[in-house]
Amino acid sequence: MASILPRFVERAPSAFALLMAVVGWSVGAGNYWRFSWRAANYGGGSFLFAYLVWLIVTAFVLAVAEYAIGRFGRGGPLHGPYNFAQRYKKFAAFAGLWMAWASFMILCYYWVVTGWIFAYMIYAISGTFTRHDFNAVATWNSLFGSWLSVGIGVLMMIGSIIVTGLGIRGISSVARIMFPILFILTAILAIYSITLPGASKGLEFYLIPKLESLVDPATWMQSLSQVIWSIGIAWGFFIAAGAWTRKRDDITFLSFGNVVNDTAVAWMAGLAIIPLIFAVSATPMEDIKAAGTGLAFIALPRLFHEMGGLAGYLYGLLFFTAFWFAAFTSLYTIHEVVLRPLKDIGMPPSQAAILTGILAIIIGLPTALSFEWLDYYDTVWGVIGLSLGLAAIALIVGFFVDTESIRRMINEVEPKPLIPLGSWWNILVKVNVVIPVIFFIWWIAYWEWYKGWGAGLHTYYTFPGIIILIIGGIILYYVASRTIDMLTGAGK
Amino acid sequence: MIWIIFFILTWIIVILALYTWYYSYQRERKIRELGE
Repeated sequence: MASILPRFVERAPSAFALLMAVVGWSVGAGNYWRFSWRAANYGGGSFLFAYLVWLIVTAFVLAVAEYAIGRFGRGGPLHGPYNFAQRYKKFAAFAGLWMAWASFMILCYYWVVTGWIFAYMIYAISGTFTRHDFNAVATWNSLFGSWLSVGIGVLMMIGSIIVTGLGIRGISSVARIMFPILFILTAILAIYSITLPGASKGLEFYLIPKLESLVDPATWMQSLSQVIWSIGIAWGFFIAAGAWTRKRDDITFLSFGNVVNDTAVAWMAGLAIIPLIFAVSATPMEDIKAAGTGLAFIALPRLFHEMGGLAGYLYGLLFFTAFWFAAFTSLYTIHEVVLRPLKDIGMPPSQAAILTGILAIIIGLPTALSFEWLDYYDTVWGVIGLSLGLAAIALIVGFFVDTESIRRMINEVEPKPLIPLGSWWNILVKVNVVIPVIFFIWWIAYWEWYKGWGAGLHTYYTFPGIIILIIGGIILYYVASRTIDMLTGAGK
Repeated sequence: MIWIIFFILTWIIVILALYTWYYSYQRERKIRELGE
């Protein structure tokens, strides 16, 4: 069966190789760049508290559900949900395409971020971080929004087109070694950062929830979106991965592995970045606000600068190489997910890779040049688009099939599953249909209506974004419906 | 107080992650015993 996964795991079809392949998908720029940016700007400890709640209530439950769609539906984002659903099959196919669409829109700015990381790898090679006159903020400001960063980002996208279009294999066998290296490097960075003098204030900000931000729906909505963005739920990847799994692979283990490994890296990255800002700055909150999306890119090189000398140089080099690798593997995997429905309807992989790659560069160009555009794309697709995809997974598994029989099928695997699913799983899947919707409405109502026009961070573009999502959704439903008719011959 | 929270959370999150690495080896061994 054509699948996006064989190239990841064909050389070592073992449970560890599979775990590393799917964790390689989860861990990427999101754990460092997006996590620190969102966590520091949306309440610190409160964000972390909400994040941990979402891991239990939503992430594991729906990762299993998404894997189940692929495993039992035997197909990518288009066919998987269609085959899986017993009722409303066309809507299920539409939901799969929705996920692929959201993935594509995220691909449009993921190449930009991967480009930044690559640029920082070059800085590390050239010894920029350990120079006496190194200025982390100035380095970031000179890169962000520059045409140099666009050029490097485009190179990353061309790399992704080559890997996906030509079907280059073997990269993930390197990724299997790279992930444990990145894990250990991040752990050491975290220890280094929290032992800096003055870091305990940052630790307090990162760990202790505050009531005023706990009652702010933005904290909950942003942490929910961070959980699904970072782990990679509702992107369509787990559907494709589930289709590939062997008979004896346990999807509860894979889901659990995704959730805890991804969280461990994000947790340690947060420990490396946030306490450092408090240790080196007299006005940390102002600095966090000023750094915006560049927080990780300002803080991490500061750590290598603090280390100094050969140790700082080598550590920076090793870290940014491993980090870039994690981001690049995630970049071309997102690209693979986007290509999958196009391949399924018969487009040659190379053509599909070039077409989507060029479109991603054109559509994503504004995000490389301005923070407002990046924030806009990330809010509309990263927050709203993915959350609706999440609700769609819950809807398909919770209501379009007999959930109880799916639960039993998941539990039937031999050797026994790591986490046997009880009837709690059925309930949580169903509850998750409304959770993203309730929090979304609360968020919009609070910030856009109660706080009033101009008060919310996203006020001036949330509504146009929602209109784009609605119109795009209608077009996508039509496309999904026509494609299914064409493939099944029902339209003839 | 923050150090207690820190150690508990780190213990849970990082140890669980490392446990999944170990578990994958154990599971693969059992899979090989059972056969494909």
